[in-house]
Amino acid sequence: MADKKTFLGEEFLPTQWYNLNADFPTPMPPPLHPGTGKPPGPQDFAPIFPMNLVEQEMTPERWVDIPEEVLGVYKVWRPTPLYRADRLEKAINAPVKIYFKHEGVSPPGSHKPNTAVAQAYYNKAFGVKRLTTETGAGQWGSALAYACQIFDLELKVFMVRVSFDQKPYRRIMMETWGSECVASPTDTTEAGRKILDAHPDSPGSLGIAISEAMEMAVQREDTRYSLGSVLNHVMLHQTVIGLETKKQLEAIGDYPDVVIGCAGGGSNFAGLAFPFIADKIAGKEVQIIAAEPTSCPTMTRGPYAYDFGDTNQTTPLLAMYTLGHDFVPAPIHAGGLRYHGMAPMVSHGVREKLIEPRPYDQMQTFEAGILFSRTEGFIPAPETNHAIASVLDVAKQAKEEGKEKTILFNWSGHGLVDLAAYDAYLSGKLQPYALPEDEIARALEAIEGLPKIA
Amino acid sequence: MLGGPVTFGYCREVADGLPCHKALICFERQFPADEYFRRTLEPETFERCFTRPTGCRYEKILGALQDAQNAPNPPKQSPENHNDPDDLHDPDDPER
Repeated sequence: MADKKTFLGEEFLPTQWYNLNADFPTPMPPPLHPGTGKPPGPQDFAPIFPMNLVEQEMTPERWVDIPEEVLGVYKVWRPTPLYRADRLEKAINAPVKIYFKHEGVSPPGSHKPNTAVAQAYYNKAFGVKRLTTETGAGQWGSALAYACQIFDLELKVFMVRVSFDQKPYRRIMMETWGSECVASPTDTTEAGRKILDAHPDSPGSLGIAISEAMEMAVQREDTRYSLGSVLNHVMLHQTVIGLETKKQLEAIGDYPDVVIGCAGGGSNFAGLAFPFIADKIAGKEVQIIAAEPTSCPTMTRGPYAYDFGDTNQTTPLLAMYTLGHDFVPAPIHAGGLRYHGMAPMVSHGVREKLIEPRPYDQMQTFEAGILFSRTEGFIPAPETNHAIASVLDVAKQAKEEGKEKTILFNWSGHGLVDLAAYDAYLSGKLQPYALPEDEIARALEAIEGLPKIA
Repeated sequence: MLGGPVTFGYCREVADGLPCHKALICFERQFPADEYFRRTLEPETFERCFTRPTGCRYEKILGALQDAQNAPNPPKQSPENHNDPDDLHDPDDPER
């Protein structure tokens, strides 16, 4: 009987991160500074990031050494196990082998500390005393809180008020690890005060929270800002996932035909996929799939660059909607990947046709997550369910074609702090379909005659 | 990722009283959001909210940084004590 899990000894922990920018067939177009219209230089980032991270952000080097201090912390939970999902395989009865990289074993329960720990280290080494950041659901905030307490950094997390009120457990995790988590908008920043003056009951937004976190970072020499996705150095740090996985697969003599990750901001997807994309660029046959939600299709809808913005950087996870003032239909849920800003490196990979984006409906994702939970036992984070839905999709195709396939996916985090989402699914509150016509008509009638917003 | 239930009313007004530019795509499977917003917004506002290029997230971060630097706040303050013994750097290190 084959092993259920493949472990890697700590002595085999990767000692370098991999930078896909060194191997893209064509260079990634640089983002443009909105003020100058030119690519940003190191000094543009200096107010918010320490120079050691700015160097990583811009490096063309293929390999970047992982500091010993970071490796020492990684060893708390890394290398993470590679599982064979044999129970899931049996349930779906398709000619596939399925492996998943279990990133849920970290203290915060996801892949996020792979970069949080690195960023906390580099900031501390630079002399920074305090970090600021924003968080919506709290996954990033809690991972950074864990990392900051290890390196004795203060942390202030601006959590979007609507999430702060609805998701207390992530906030409590942050406070347990010694950080301060406040509901944004706050009256402690100019950005927050401006919003509160106009809208005292503002539920907040990620855009406001970012503005507050940035303002605090630029005000003090000993304070910097930290972000858990999108940026190149974040993608870089996350490649420890894929680098470990390659070693584990080598140890058991296997290699995937398909590599799958869920893609919100892109960091967990990049972490697993980038080292395999390097192989693809070098000529290996491997399909790379990025799974995203149909309700927020960043990669599968819209042209490159234009549709990858988030004017206000707000992403609802669960969406109950009122069309008119008196209208409250049943809630609709989206599984956690409502993130409007894809990492440029992932976007470039899509454009280079190295990465295939696929959208999945929320009902599909929860069905997949429930099947996974009832076979393999672990309850995935709602966003991870998008990857699982994609796995089932590929397995179904393999069955139809009669072709054997080896599938690898990133199990990016557990869902034990997001059980409200499963509750909504299991109690039948999730609806994949449109509102009934008469309800739509009534809602639209309610706004007839109202003045239009200029 | 906000991670919890929000109303359409939230998405409808989150951008300082205007809708999130993704509201059309996010809600189109549930109801005719396009029709709704064309009824509630002036044409120019609709265009500004939903069709004009918004730039990538990376550029938005730089924009937020620029706004923070231009805000009417005190300039970057030096901490009172540069020579904290807990600092990992050697204060005599000329590379610092």
